[in-house]
Amino acid sequence: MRVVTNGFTLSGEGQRWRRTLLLATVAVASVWSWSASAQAQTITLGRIGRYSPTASDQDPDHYKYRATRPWWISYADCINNDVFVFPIQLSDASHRLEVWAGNDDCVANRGKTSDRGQCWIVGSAEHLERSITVEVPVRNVVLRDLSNTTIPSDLGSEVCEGSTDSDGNKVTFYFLIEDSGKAVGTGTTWTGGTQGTGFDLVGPPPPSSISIKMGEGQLSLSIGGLTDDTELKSLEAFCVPEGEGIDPGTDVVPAEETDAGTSADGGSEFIPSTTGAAPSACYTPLLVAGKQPPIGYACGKVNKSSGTIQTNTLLDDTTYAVGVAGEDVIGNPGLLSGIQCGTPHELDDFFEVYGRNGGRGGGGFCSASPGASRSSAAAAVLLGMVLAALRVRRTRSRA
Amino acid sequence: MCISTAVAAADTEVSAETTSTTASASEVQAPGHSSVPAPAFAATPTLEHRTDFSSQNMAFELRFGPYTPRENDRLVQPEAGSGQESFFGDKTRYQLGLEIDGQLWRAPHVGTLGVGLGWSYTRRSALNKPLPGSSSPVFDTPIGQKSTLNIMPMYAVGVLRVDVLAKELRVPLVGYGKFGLGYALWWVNNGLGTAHYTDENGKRIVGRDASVGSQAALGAMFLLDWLEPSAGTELDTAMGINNSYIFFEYSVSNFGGDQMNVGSKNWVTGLAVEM
Repeated sequence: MRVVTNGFTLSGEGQRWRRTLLLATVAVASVWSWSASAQAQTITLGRIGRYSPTASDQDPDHYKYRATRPWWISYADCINNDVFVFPIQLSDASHRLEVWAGNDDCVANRGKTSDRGQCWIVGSAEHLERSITVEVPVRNVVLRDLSNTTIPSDLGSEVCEGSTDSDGNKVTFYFLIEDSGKAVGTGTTWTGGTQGTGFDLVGPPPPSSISIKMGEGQLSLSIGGLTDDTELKSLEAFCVPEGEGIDPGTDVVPAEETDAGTSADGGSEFIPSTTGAAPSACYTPLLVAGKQPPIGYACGKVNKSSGTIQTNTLLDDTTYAVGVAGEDVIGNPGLLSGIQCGTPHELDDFFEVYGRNGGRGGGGFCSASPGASRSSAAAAVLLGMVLAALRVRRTRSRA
Repeated sequence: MCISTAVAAADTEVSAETTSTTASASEVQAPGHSSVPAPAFAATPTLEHRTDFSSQNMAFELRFGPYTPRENDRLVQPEAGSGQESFFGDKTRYQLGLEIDGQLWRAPHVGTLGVGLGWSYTRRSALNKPLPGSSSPVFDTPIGQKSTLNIMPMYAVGVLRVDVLAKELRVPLVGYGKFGLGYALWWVNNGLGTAHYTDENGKRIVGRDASVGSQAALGAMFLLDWLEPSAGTELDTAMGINNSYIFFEYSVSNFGGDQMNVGSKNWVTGLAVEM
């Protein structure tokens, strides 16, 4: 039998060759087709969100996003182990997806077995559907393990400690397709929008000096020696009553009398002690210069541009240890300034002096003032007469 | 001079046959005179020639001046010779205010009569004081807490503005008088919040109230249009502002009786416009 195909004449031997050629063609076409498909794989990010596992409502739409740097990871975010949620659409549904973080060319570096630059893997997904959601705990980002290619899991809060860089680390997230251990395509990236994303777990440095003035039920703190830190957003005072937190069995009150001097404006000014402990006149182990402030003893907060903090209401005739810490734009508390002593005390305000001297009035805007002067009545009558006359005049002119 | 003479000579022939409304033939023929019309310069607009005023119904004042409430004189002033300062000290404090007048009736050859509503705000602060006789060691630390007396004086007054000088005699001055009812909101902050004390009957008196009294003022306004009449015309055309003034006024408010007298005697200056 002779089969003529495209001008070629094939014998029986030739037919076997033809079958082999066809099979090879099909195989090559299949590989090429798969390869082309992989090369054309597209990754489309949906609306990215985040949630806190410690919150009762874990809907990313209900997460309380910061107005400033909403995608950055703060110390509190790390302690709460917030989770980034990345909804992803794939054009092909059969690959493994890896999420890398870094501030380097992670597309080029991810395949390397060592020296992957500033790139580390933070998440992955297997057996992909076309529409998937990848969740990345922020601790995986904060860990910044450059030597490991496996996904970190169940990291503890210890990864949030020990950071020292108050400027933080800006990162880019890379979404990369992988098949059989090999990189496929160039993936896509997410940089956190206009304000970027990254992690910054360290608050701003404390002011180098504070000066205390007293008031009734209040202390006034003048802040000095702030560094020109663009990350600094606000300053917060912490007031702890003398002796608070002392364990009689173990704590020893320092022997020095005080660490206070006198500032140029007359207030008590801090002179740093070698230990950072509060002065003996108001000693408490809860406030130590250079340490994290006790959040529960916050007693007043102002914008960084304000040089003075008026504390919230304090008890008169109680001596307080007082320190100040900064807070950066993503809410990281800084370390405490030197500790100062202050004692609110009863004072005379203007209205008390006025009342004691026989002054009248007060009681509220709507309180009656029966003793208004006769001149006011005369003025009211006269003004009424003017108005009436003008009205009569106008009425007549219209007539 | 040579040119003038030549022109005059040339024109003499023409003028002999024409009649000029500006010069008689004898004048033209006089040496040094010409029948050529003078260049036409626009006459400077003057107040008496302005007929382009839009209707005028109201006045608006932006006011600024010192403000010393009388309360400080009577009740919180230290005894004479004690060497102590008054609570708020002697530093001059200022007020900023607004007034809007309805000019309801124009009295011919006098001015306008209307009613005005005014508002202003002032405040004064001073450090709180140690209790009398107190010698607590805590006063080794200076005081940093302030009392602030906030006053918001308001008034409703009859206003007579005598602008006959400006309108009819081209003297850019307008005199005025105001008299009416004064009303002032005041409140005291002691550094922690609204101040208060407990009276002899154990009643808690809160440091905020309103005081009622009388308000009077005498003043003079200088008409700025007189300095730049064309600008005045443009303002009227563009914005309906008939006249603009700078004014000086002596203002007296009194809130006597059983209330805090936050009235004041003070000078006020500012800008005013009539629209």
